[in-house]
Amino acid sequence: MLTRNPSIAISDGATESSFASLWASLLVAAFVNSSAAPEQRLSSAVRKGRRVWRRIVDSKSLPWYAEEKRRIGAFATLLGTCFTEQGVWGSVAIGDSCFFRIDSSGMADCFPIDDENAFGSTPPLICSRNTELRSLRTSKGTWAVGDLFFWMTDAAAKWFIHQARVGLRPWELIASFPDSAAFESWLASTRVNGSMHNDDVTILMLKVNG
Amino acid sequence: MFVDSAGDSLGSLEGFITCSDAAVWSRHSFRMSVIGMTYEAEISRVNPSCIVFLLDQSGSMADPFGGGDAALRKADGASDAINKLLSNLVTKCSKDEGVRDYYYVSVIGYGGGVAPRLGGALSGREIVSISELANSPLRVEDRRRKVQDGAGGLVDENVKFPVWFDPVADNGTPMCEALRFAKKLLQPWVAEHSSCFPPLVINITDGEATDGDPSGPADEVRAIASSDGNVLVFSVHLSSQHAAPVVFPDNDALPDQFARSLFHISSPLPPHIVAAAKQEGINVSDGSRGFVFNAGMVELINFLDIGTRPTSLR
Repeated sequence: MLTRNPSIAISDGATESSFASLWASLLVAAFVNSSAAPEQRLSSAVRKGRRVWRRIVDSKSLPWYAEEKRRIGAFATLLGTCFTEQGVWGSVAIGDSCFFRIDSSGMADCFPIDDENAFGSTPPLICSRNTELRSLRTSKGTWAVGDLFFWMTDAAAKWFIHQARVGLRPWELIASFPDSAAFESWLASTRVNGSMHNDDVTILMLKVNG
Repeated sequence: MFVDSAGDSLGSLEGFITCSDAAVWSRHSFRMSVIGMTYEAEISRVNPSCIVFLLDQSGSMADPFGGGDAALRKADGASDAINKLLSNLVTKCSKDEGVRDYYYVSVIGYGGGVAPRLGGALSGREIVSISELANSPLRVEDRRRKVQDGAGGLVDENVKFPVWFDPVADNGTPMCEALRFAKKLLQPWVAEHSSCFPPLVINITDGEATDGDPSGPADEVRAIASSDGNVLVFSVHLSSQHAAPVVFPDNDALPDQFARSLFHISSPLPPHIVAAAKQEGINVSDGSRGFVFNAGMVELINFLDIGTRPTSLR
């Protein structure tokens, strides 16, 4: 039984932009600390995160090569999911970080991308210098005890979708790692054998027990 | 130009290249290592690449460009173009944690002598990492540039313009000695970085060498190879004439013997540069060389931008 309505968010900062990891952290924190519905949470997280990012970053003294990048701003994806006690989940996303729900039948929900060929090098991103929200996607569905949830950044999501499409059960593999060392060792092997694109990887996994 | 090769296609290929002009046939031989695909290596911190600028600093570089850039001295335009490229390279390599050493850079001037030309804290340094470059510009100037104002117009904006060396224009054109300097610099560097994306030597000149035929020294630079291919030598000729530029030609049907000799010492463009040039609307073929003749400032800047595009930075 949920004692409150939890939310989970993931944000992938574009490392070509400056202070992207700060931007990603602010977006995630602002999203989970809100109490609004998913779509409103995202827009208020962007407004609040932007104010804090600018306050922190604009006051820094930077070397000449970082000033232009600071002026341009930071860019990141944001994917957030809110759960209710009534067995409903609602997700909102800008960018190519992905949410998956696995139930007894296999991959039940896949959002916002369900085609491994749809991942490109220029996903829509949220900028710390404006409040423009391009290509915002929303989805909702139901959940039950026993379900498995994942939130992943793009390289892992693309791999996950491909594995499922060819009839494998990648959620069992991810759930089998006993510790982070085992996960990292496996991740390194996927980069060597080319099954995973060489990019930063973040995977969150949540299992709903009775 | 034709290559007559004998030998195994994997391992070493000894080739003979014949260069022709109206009066003289000369033969050059070189060894090229062929190990599958070339010019594909990912540039990374553990596998950096290298760019060497050979900059003509002879007396005639004090003359202005021809045509529309007539107010600008070639020496000033060339140093602005290189300094701007170095600034762009630093920005490309900079992340939150600092500047990643994807590149090593050398700026060698040739005129009264041949010597490294970086100034300030980097004086006398023959080759520096991109992070050292980032942290030690000679000075950072305040300049103004025009940017879009968001309402369809242009507005002036202050920008920082870092400068690593100042223009010099004096004496002759010891291009052969400059190429030998590049060879001396790159042989040990490539030996130490044996799987690097092959280094790029960019020779910027406004006239003929005064110390001999540069073909031999250029061939020796191009003979240096990593596992990903041979060192690239590109050439940009700056013009004081009001003459049409020739950009990335694929044959030596060129205005004069000097242009033809620069064509022959320039490497063919790697595939990703051919693709980048096509994207910019430039007429190139798979046989195009990294060579521009009669360049003005626009051609110089575009050449430096396209010629230094990486395959990927990881």
